Amino acid sequence: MSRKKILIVEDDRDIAMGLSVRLRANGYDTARASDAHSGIEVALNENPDLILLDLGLPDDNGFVMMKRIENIPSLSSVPIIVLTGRPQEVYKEATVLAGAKKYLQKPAENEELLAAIREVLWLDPVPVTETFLSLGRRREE
Amino acid sequence: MTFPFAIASFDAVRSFRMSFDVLADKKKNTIGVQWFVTIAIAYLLLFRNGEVSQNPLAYFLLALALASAIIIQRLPESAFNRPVFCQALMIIDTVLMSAAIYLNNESSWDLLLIFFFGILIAAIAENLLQVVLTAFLLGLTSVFISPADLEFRLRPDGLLRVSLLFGASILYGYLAEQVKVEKRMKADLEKTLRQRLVTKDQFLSHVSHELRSPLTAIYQFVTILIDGLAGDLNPEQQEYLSIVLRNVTQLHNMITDLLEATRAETGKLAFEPRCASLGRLASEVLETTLPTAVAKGVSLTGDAPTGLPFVFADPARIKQILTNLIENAIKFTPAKGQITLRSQIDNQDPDFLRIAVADSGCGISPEGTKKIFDRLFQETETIDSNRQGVGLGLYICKELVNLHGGKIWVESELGKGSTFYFTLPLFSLSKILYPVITDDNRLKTNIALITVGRIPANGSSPWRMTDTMRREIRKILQGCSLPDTRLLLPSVTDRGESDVFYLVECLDQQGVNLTAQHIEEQLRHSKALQVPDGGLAVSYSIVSAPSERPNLSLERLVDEVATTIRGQMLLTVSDGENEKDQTYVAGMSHGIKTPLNVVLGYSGMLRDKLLGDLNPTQEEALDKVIAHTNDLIVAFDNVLEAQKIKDKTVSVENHELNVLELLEELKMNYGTTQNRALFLTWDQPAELPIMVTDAAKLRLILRNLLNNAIKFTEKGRVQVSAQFNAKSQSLEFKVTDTGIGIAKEAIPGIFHRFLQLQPSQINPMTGMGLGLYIVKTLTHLLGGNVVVESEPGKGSAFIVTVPAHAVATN
Repeated sequence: MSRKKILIVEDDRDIAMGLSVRLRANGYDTARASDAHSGIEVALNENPDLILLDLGLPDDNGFVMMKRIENIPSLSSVPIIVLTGRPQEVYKEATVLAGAKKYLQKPAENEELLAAIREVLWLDPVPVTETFLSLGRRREE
Repeated sequence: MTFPFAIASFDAVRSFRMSFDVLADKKKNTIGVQWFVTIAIAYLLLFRNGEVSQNPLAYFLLALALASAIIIQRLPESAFNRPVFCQALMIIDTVLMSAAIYLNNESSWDLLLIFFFGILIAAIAENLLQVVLTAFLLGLTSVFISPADLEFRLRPDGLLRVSLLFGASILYGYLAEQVKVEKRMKADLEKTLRQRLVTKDQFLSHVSHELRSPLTAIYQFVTILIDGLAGDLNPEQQEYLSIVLRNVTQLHNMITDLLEATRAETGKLAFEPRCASLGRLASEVLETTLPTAVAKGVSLTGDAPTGLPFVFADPARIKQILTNLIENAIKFTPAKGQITLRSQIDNQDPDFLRIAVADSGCGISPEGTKKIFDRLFQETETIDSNRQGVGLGLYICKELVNLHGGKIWVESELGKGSTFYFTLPLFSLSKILYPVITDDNRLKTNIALITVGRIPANGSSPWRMTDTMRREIRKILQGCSLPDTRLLLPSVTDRGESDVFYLVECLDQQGVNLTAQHIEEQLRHSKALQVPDGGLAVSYSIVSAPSERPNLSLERLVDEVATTIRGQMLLTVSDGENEKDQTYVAGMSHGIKTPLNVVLGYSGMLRDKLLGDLNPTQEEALDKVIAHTNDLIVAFDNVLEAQKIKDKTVSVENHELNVLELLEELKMNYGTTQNRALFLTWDQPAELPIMVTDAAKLRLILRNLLNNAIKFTEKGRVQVSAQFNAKSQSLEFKVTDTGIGIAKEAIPGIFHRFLQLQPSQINPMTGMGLGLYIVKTLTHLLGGNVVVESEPGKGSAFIVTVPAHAVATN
C-alpha cells in the first residue's frame, strides 16, 4: 500500500514542523500550509488522504475552511481531523457538526493523534460490532 | 377484525401527535407505528378471501414481521438516530408489505401501485401531516373506485386499503419528517453554537489557545528528541529528557486545571479520582523538587515502603499537594536541614493512607497550626514578613485533600520543625471487583451504584453534616452491604453542600431496590441522623457490564467499570459550588513555576551540551523547546495579569530596578533561541540610573512586545532600544521589527483582547491575542503610554514610555 499523505494546516511553523516530523516517522507523507487560503491550494495540488486542521488560522478560521472544502468536489470526501488549542467544551460540537471526523485538543499525545489518524483512514481493522457500538456511543455524547 | 385495527389506529394517532413534540421520543414513536404496520401486514397475510390462509410462506413472513418488530423494540435508543437504521427499516417493511399484498392476492395490482405512490409522496413531502392526509384520501378513493374497471362501488378489500395505506404512509411520513426535524435542529444547534463562540467564551478561547499552542510545540519537540527522531541520545540525556517530558505532562494537567478554573460559567475544579500509586507519584514529585532543595542545601528524602495499596485519588492533584507541601518545607528549612516524605496505612482509619512531609525547619506556633490552612493566612499580622506566600499553597492543599475525602493537619514545635500529614482513601475497586470477573474477563453480574446524599432543607440554609453523622452513615452503609461482593467507596466530595456517599454492589435491579430500601430505613431510624428538615436521600443506578470484548485485559476492564461508576458519581455531585475559585488561579501561578523551570533548566543543560554532544537537528529541537517554554511563561503571566485586571486585583509594586540588568536578562532569554534568519539587536546606553518602577510588569511588557515582533517577522531584524529621559523622568523602550507591518486603520484595534475572533476580517495582525492587550493595560497602569508606528510590508515600531524616577546615586 502506498504511503498516505496528510496535509497539515497550522499557522505555527514550529508546531507544523513538529507534527510533520512525527507523522513522517510513522510512515505518512506530509504537506504543509500555514493558512486557510494556501491550505486549499495545497490540498488541490497534493490530493491528501487526510487534512489535519487548526481552527485559529491567520486569514480565516478553520470552520470557514471546512465549509469551503465541503463545496469543492475533489476535496469534499477528504476526512478532516481538527487539532486545536481552543477549548473543547465550546468547539467540539461545532467542529463535528461542521464535518470534521475528529476533534483533538492540543497538545494531543502522539499516541492519541496517531490512533485518530489510523481510525479515520480506516487503517486499524475494527470489528463491526465495535464500530456500531462506538457510533452509538458517540451519538449519545 | 375491527378490534386490533382500532387499537392500532389509536396508537398511530398518538404517535402521530408525539412526533411533533420531540426527537427524544423517536424510539417510542417508531415502535408504535411499526406495530401498526405489523398488524396490517398480519391481517393481509392471514386473511384471504375471508378465510384463514393455509400458505406456510405467509406464516413465515408473519414470523419475520413479528421478529423485526420485537428486535427494534430491543434496540438501544441511539440506534434510532442513525440513518442506516431508518433505511434498513424502510427496506424491510417495504419488502414485507409488498409480499403481504402479493400473497393476499385478493387485492389487485392497483393497490401495490397506490402503495408505492404513497411512499413516493412521503419521500418528497417530508411532512407527516401532508403525507397522512394524502394517503388517507388515496385509500378512501380506492375503497370506492377501482382503477381497473373504473366502476364506483364498495370493494370488499376497502378497509384493508385504508388501513394499509394509512399505516405505510405514517411510517414513511414519520421517518421523512424526522429527517426534516433533524436538519432543522442541526441548523439551530449550529446557530446557537456559533453565537456562543463569539460571545461568552472568548476569554477562555484565547487563554486556552495561547497556553496550549506553545505547550504543543514543547511536547512535540521533546518527544521527537526522546524517540530518537532527531538522532541518538546517551542514557543520561535520555533520562533528563524524560524528566522534562514528565514536567511537560504536569504542565499540561495544570493548564487544563487553570482553564477549568478560569471558565466563568462553572469555575469549579475538575476532579477525577482513580486508582493511583502513591509511591510512583511521590518519586516523580521528589525528582522535580530535588533541584530546589539541593540549591538550598537541604536534604530531601522519601521512604515509601513497597507494597503500599493503591489510593483512590486524582494523580495530578496528589502531585500538586505533594509539590506544595515539599516546596513549603524547603522554604522554611534552613541549609543542612532535612525533609522527609513518609507514607503508611493510617492507623486510625485503615481505609486511608497517611502521608507525612516532615521538615527540620523553624516550626509553627501552636496558634499558627490552627490557622495555617486558612485562606490568605499570610496576610494576618501575627506572621512575620518572611512567611509570605504560605497561605495560598496550603489552602489549596486543604481544598484538594478535602476533595478526595481525606484530611490534612500539621504537628509542629517552634524551632524543631513541623510535620504535615494528609490522608487519602485507599482504592479497593479492583480487589473487590476481582471475584465478579470470569476467567475470560467479563463481569458476571451487573454492578449497582447506591448514592446517599443530603436533601437541602426547603427555603432555609442546608443543614451541616457533622463527623459523627458521616461515621454513622458509613457504618450503616457497611452494615447494609452484602459480604464478599461489596465495594464501599469513600465519600468523594466533602466540601460545601455536597456530602455524598457511595456504595457499589454487585446486584441486579431487584436486589439493589431492596438494598436501597433497607439503607433508607436504617438511615431513618438512626438517632444520630435526625435532622429538623431536609434529610438524606438514597438513590441508585445500575452500571451495566461493558461490551463483551474477550481481549480486554483485567486492568482495562476494571478501569472501564471504574470509569462508568465514576461518571455516574460525578452526575450525582451537587452543583452547589458556583463561586469562582480565584484563589485557585492565583495559587496556580506559584505551582506552575516549578515544572516550567524544570523544563527550561534541564533543556538548557542539554542544549549547553553539559550532558553530552548533540547533532544540529537536536540542537534545533532543543532551541525550539526553550523558545516555546519562554513563550509559555509569558503567556501564563499574561493570563494571570488578565485575570487580575478582570477581577480588579491588579496592583503596582514599585521597587528599585537596574534596567540594564533587566535588559541583560531578556538578552539571555532570547539569546540563542531564535530562528536563524532573524537577528535580534539591542541598543541601550552604557549607563542607566537605578529606577523605581514595577519590574515584573515592565518585564512582561517588554517580553510581550518582543514575542509579538518575533512572531510577525519571519526574516530580518528586531531591535530593542532603551533610553532614559532625565527631564521628564521617564524610560522609553522601542521595539522595532522588519516584519509584515500593520495597516493604518487596523492599529487602533490591535490592543483589544479578542481581535483574533473576527474571522471575516482579513487582517495580518490577527492571532496576537492577549499580549498587546496586556502591554497596553499594564503600561497605562504604570502611568505611561504606548505608540505604534507601522507600514504594511515594512515593519512596525512599538514605543512604550513609562515614568520612572531615578534613584539618586552618590
